[in-house]
Amino acid sequence: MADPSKRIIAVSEHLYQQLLGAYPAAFRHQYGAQMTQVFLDCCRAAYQQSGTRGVLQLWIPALGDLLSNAIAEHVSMLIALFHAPRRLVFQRQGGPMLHITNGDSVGGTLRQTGLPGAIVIWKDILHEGPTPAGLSLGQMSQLRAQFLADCALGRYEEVLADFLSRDTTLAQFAAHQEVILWFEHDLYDQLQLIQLLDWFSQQDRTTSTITLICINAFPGIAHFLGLGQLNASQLRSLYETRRPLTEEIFRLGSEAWKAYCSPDPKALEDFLQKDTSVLPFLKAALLRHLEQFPALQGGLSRTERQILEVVASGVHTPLEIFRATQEQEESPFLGDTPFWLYLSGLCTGRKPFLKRADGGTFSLPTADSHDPAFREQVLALTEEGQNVLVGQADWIKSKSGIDRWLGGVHLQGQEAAWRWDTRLATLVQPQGAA
Amino acid sequence: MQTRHQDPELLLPLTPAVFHILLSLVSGDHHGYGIMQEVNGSTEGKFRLGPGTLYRSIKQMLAQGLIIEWDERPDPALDDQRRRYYRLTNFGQCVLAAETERLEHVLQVARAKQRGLAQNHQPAGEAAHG
Repeated sequence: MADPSKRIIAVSEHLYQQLLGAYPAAFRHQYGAQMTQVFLDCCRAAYQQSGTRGVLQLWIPALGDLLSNAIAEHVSMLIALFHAPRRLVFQRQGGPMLHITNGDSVGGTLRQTGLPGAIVIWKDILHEGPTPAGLSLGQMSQLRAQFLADCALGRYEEVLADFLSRDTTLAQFAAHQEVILWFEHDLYDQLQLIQLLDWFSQQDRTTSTITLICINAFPGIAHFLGLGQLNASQLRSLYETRRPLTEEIFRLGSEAWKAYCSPDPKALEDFLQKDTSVLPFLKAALLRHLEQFPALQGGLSRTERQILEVVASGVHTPLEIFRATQEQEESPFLGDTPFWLYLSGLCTGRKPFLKRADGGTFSLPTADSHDPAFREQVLALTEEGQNVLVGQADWIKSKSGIDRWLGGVHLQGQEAAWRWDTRLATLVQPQGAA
Repeated sequence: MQTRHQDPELLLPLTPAVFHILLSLVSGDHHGYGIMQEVNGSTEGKFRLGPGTLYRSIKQMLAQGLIIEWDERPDPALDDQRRRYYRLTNFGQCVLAAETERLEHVLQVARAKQRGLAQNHQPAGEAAHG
């Protein structure tokens, strides 16, 4: 017969998780698991003290707490939404074209090209943080805004307002005769592109033509990194090379985005077995994403390993480390701001792999990366950091576990459910993974 | 990067939940349930935080820079990686000190008024002898 304590606690957990559906999706994804964990702790304590009756008594205040805070959270969300539309005015002055591109720099140059139309900047570092499956664009924007705010990459209300402004302009795409997607080949751009292709694949596109400009090289530029390197005349010349997107491309982009957001990373590996040649840069970009999974040997993502190797080779200050690791990338995708978070992550924990040479605490830039107090920090490997480079330490074990989202995959627990086998270039499930 | 240097006074008065969470983190880093236990103990069960209030407050406090999530665990061997630990920031300490000072002032005013009230209600004879 089942242990009654286990039964009442399991029923309570299930019910509590269902009731968490009353919260906005962004809040639920961010804090739902922790709230359930805390509620379970309370249930166990109540059962030990007063048995089943104790657990039932716990439910009365818990229901009030859950529902009142769900309402309050929805109200906060509505207030943020109320503030958002003020920024729409500029972008709604569209014309026949809608241009969607990857960053402020390209957006600024596009304005100088003389091409008419509205410009939407699709700036989200989708390669970092959660992108779980099954969310609408609005729900995803809320969740992403929460993630970026939690990483101190912006104020929640401001990031959300930018995203909602972006989404609202996108939702009005049918008012334009043509929508032009301007993207490049790296992971940052390819993820934005497939997110958009997935969204467009669900829309009625009969009144607008959707076209794509997507390049990995430009004549006369020896080391092409991105559209941001091009001047207005160079960017204008690409306009003539745009090509209309076919049903096949929408379908493939949508499949790619769904695989990226799947909680099972094997879906992405399966997707990569397909012929993706109509989106020629997608496969390499998604493979680079898989290299961000913790390695079977050492538990580091490729970015983290590159940082340690660069420091071991004699590069010590944050900007120099950033530049040196970018040179190791076939297609650099990581901006400096998220890069500092990787540096900071390696400097923290019970057994950090990096340390400041002067014994101080590594600090992130307060305003921008030109802050001298930030730039002049000298970093060195710890003993543990040296050990991992020779296969004698493991980052996940050193940190006593992992809690990290990679697309739709949430790696959580004492051991990562999936690691990247660099030798075989495939994901594997380590022994002892939950 | 966001800068979070601002005047602590601008965040006052704190909600009771935020105040008690800040207080609970003075003694060290805690995860969510640890914070609840600390608050329950320090208030002798008179102020109880539910998980909803706790995590809405934590969300707000992270955004205001009063606390940060902290990777390091007091005892990793006994712990569950899914738990997230929170640490008081220097700014959080400043805000807590400012709120404590504000409450002290409120308390002084309240006590002074109560003393005045008690004196006004004393029988005439007692007042004459006092």
